[in-house]
Amino acid sequence: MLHLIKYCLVTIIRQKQTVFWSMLFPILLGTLFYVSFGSQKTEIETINVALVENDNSEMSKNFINYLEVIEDSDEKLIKIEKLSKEKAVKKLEKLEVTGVFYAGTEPELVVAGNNISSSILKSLLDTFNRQAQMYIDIATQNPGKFEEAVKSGYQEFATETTLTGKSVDGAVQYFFSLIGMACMFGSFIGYLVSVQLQANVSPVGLRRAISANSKLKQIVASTLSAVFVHYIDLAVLLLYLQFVLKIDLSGNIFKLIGICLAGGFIGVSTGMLVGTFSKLPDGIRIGILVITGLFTSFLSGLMVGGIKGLIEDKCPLLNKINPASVITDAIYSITVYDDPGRYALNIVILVAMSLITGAVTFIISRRECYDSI
Amino acid sequence: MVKVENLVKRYGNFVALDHLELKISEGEVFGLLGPNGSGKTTAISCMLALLKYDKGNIEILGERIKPSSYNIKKQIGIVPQNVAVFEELSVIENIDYFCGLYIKNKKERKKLISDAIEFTGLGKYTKMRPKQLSGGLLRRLNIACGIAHKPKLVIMDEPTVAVDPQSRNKILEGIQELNRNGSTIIYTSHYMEEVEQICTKIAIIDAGRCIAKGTKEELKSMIKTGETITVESIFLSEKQLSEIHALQNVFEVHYENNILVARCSSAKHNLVRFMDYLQDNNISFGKVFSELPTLNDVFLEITGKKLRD
Repeated sequence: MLHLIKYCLVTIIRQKQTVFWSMLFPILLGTLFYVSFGSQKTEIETINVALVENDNSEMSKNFINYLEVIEDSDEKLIKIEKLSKEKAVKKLEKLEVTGVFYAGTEPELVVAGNNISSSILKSLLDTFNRQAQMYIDIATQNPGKFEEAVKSGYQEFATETTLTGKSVDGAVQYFFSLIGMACMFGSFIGYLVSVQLQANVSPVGLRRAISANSKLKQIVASTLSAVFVHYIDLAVLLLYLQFVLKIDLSGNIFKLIGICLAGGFIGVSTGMLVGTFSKLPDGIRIGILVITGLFTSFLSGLMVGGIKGLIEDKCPLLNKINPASVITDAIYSITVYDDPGRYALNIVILVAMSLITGAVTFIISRRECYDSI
Repeated sequence: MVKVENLVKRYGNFVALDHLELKISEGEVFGLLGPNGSGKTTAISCMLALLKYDKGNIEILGERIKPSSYNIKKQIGIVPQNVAVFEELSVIENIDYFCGLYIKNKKERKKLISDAIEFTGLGKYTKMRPKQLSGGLLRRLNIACGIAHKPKLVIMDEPTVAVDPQSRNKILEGIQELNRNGSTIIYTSHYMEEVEQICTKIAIIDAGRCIAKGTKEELKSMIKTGETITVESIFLSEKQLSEIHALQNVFEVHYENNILVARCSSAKHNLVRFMDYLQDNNISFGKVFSELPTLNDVFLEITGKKLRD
């Protein structure tokens, strides 16, 4: 077995194409992201907002109080400037403020554009509207508790923001998706070892198939080697992101390793499965690997930041069956949400996917006798 | 050593092997001769339990071979038609890898690898990768990977395809040496000269059937042709052609593009009688060849087509 593993490792490491896609490509892409996004911003920029007092109603007072509590919070999410309607509109036109809140019986918001800052302002208004009655009750019955209630609601808002797919730091999500993509690109290693195992796919596979070594032993050795090399690739990528690009992958490192172990196995077993498609030419099978890797990563938010959230709204099942999305979501669950339940669910899904793809690949690969060669 | 009985292999309606019967004894260099697509590789794949077959029985070393017959497979070495080596491994690593599929002991393997390298003359190229080798050297590496574990039975499936004459001779000499060292060889080819040169027993296969088998002498004695006389640059009338056809022992005459080919049954002085006729009739001519029957003649007479058709 050691003999088989040793040479399988050597063949993988010396295969330039495999090394490029599984190790170098994610590192290059990560570097590109880093250069494109500039240095990482882990703090939210304070949003300048104008406040126009429409009337003197209870609702208006409560809304102003609500905004002031948020302004005074540690996060410094917003900076309010009380203005007349005309001045506020002028400032909005000159983009000196991101939006204008109108405090009245029905609080309103006007924003200058459609970006993350304006979305945050809208979310603040939505949160207030949803909980307005509660704020009024507290303000009238127990005014001392108002600030605490708003802060509690604000925390809920912060959590909701992440739950809808908008990371507090928008750029980090690309790196999470990148890890998902890197896991999927282990398929190139899986493909290489799979091709070398099949007698109806490669001459080397034929020679191995008729040797005195059982196919099972060869499959186990190849799979272990492929998975091992892929885990090294992923470890290098994580170290590169964390220590060279200084991307904050904080959270439980063991949980992150758990994600990479399960996710990496899916990548390898997917490649091994594609390698067994003996009727397809080599170029087409490689194309399937590239497209699978990139498309699943695209859906997880690698190229368009909001797509994962959009899919979560329109077709959540897709996010649950797309391994790259599950990997990305699992990373969110430990780095952003700190939600052990969500993490566990994602890990269960990843392990289930690994078992299914691994089992199918094994059943196809283990044949020793063929109908045609 | 190898017994193939009533072997039938179909691909849909196409019959690749049609009740094939072979018996190969220990110590033989057994040639499977047939044109491309005749079923040689299919037969080999069935013998190695790599290909399912519809009917028949295959025994190797006295046991029916199955995919899991690892003890039998340990005794077999295969040199496949396509070069089957890892591009990423050097010459010595490739030999070590494939030898290691049969021999676990490192020390023993080291000696076997060194023997295989010496046998195939790859000593100068051990650190090279397959891409750096010429076609002939690559074929030699293919052989080294198949025989390094010193198997009792070596199956070589067209090992000289696309090899230059010099390398081909080296390979053929090597096969004979392997046989002298105790290995039984099954050698498939569509090159009759090779089969004639090295095989002690030959089976001619066509359309999945064994149409003749025996030693080369036995095969040649099966056919009418004893001698083929070819005359180049000769101008003959219809009358003269008829007269040549009527000469003693001549049973077939073919005249095209001023080249005359006459097939004669086995007898003494066929060429003398032929030359006498040409001289007596004052017929001028160019080169004259007289050839003893070849396996191609055997194939031609039995099937009505040439081996390389």
